[in-house]
Amino acid sequence: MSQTVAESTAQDSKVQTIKPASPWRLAFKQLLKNKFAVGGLVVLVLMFLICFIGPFFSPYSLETMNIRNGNKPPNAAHWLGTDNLGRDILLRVMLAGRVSLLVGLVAMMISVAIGSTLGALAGYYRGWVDSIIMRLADIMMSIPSLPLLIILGAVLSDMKVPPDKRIYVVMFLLGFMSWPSLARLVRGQILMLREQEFMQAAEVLGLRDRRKIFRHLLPNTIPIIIVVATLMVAGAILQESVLSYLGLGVVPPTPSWGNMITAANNLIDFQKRPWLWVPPGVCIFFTVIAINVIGDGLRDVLDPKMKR
Amino acid sequence: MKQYAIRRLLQMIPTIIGVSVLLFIVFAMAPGNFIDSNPTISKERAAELKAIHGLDKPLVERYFTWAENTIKGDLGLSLQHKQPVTTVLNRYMWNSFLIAAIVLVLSWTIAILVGVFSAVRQHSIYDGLITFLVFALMSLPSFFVGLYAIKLFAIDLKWTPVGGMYTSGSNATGLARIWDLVEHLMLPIIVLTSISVGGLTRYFRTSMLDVVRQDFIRTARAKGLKERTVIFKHALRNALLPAITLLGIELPGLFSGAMITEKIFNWPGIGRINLDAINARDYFLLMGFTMFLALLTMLGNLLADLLYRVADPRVRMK
Repeated sequence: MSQTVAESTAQDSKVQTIKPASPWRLAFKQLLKNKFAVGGLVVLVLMFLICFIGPFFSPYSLETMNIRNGNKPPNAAHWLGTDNLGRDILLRVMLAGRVSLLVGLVAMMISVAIGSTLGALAGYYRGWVDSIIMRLADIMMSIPSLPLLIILGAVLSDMKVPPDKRIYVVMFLLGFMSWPSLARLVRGQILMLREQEFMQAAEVLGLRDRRKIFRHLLPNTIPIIIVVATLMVAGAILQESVLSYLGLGVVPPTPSWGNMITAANNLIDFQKRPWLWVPPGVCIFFTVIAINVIGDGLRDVLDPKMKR
Repeated sequence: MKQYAIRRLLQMIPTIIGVSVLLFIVFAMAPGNFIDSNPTISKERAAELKAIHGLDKPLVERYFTWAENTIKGDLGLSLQHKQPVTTVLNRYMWNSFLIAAIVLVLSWTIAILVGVFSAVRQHSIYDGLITFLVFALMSLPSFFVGLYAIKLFAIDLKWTPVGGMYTSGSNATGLARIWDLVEHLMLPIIVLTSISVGGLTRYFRTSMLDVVRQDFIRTARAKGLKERTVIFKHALRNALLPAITLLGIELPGLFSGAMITEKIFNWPGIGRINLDAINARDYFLLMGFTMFLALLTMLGNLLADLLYRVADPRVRMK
């Protein structure tokens, strides 16, 4: 590349060396101007670091139980106290954070994969494909999601999924529940994009449908997808916590922020040992705020037209 | 307009059938059933009961029987409550409606006032503070806030009762009874209002910001109208217009009950009954209530679209 540039005229080389700022870089720079979004990013990065790297520095492990050292309030050795089995709460909160953050992220990816594909298909083909997909979305959107999630959670419990594998099922469940709104959004965008001139060019080139949809249409909807996807992570984390709180999501011994709060269902723990259930709740709260703030900042930057 | 409404109503038919089929399958997939989970019932009696409620028939047949009865307006018998589903729904729904209606009025009033204030002073310290608060409120996990509120206000400070609707065993009448109710309503209403007010405030702020930038506001100011008149008469009215669609979307929320909050505060509302019905596999109650909510959701969306067309002639043209 540099060889050809050197050989060409000076003017040409000048054109070549000016690096146009990519829209992504511009968007990122603008995002950094938003104080809230930067704060959210810092909190989120910290939360990730603490949850994923923190446990390596903990002197305790989940296997070392010491019932005599159980239910101790926060002290110098156990910063957040211990639970009834003498396990360190701080360590459990960090490990639970790994689970909750992962569930949020994977559920979002599943939902984005389903939602954007179906939305794109509906928008591109229109006609009966559109009707079927959108009616399906209507159906999913008019069913109240919590009862459905609870029932499906109960179905899962019955399928004897081993507790350590259950988080995958929860991820899938949450991902599957939230695709319709994204599908609608993507469909609307594709309907608009497919009438534009570059698509006529794609038509003239004789590209296959698959290439037109996934290489030419969908990439143009990425800014909107990113905004929605960010907010979806927050939603999935909240939903996971509700489900786990009801005992139908991630189940012990795997800790998650939601199932740690179930300690509050025990009257004594609820009244006398708030260190068991307050820290995970506070973690959920800060993580979700951080993600929401980032999502909102992204919306301003990537898609100024779309406002709530 | 009429044509549009009719077309949308017709479109709802396949959707509602789809919803019912999906729900029926999912509920049937759920492990266990109400009768077998009761250990005091003998085998013969269990079989007899299943025959009465039609639970021994194959799924497809059960669906069609249910669908036929439902169309006739008979939602079946709640297994738990031993009463028609409609009676059970009617009894508990209004307790939930009471909370939901108060929360709706409170959160809209607060959201409109705060949203306007925040928009008028865009980029001020207040605006920043409010924006932060709004995000905090939007991110509250309802069950955790509920639990924490009980711990703080009911147990530690003893300001409010822990849960329920009336103090048990109390036979107060008249004003004392109403005051008892108000005390019990306090915490759930605070929790639910704080959860819903965040998003609404944000909505009104954005909508207000859109309006105050427009030319007719400048005209109003140029005419020499008082700022208060400009903001509350000219701007706010126009900012509220798109919000009427929100009212349609809130329609099912008035009747659905807040499952988790009602469970935490032990409120005898339809949300808690629904949660119990799920756990007890009370199929007819579950189907009846969920279908009712699905129908309300669809009607709410339709209402929202229709209202928007009434409010905004530009939409009608398309």
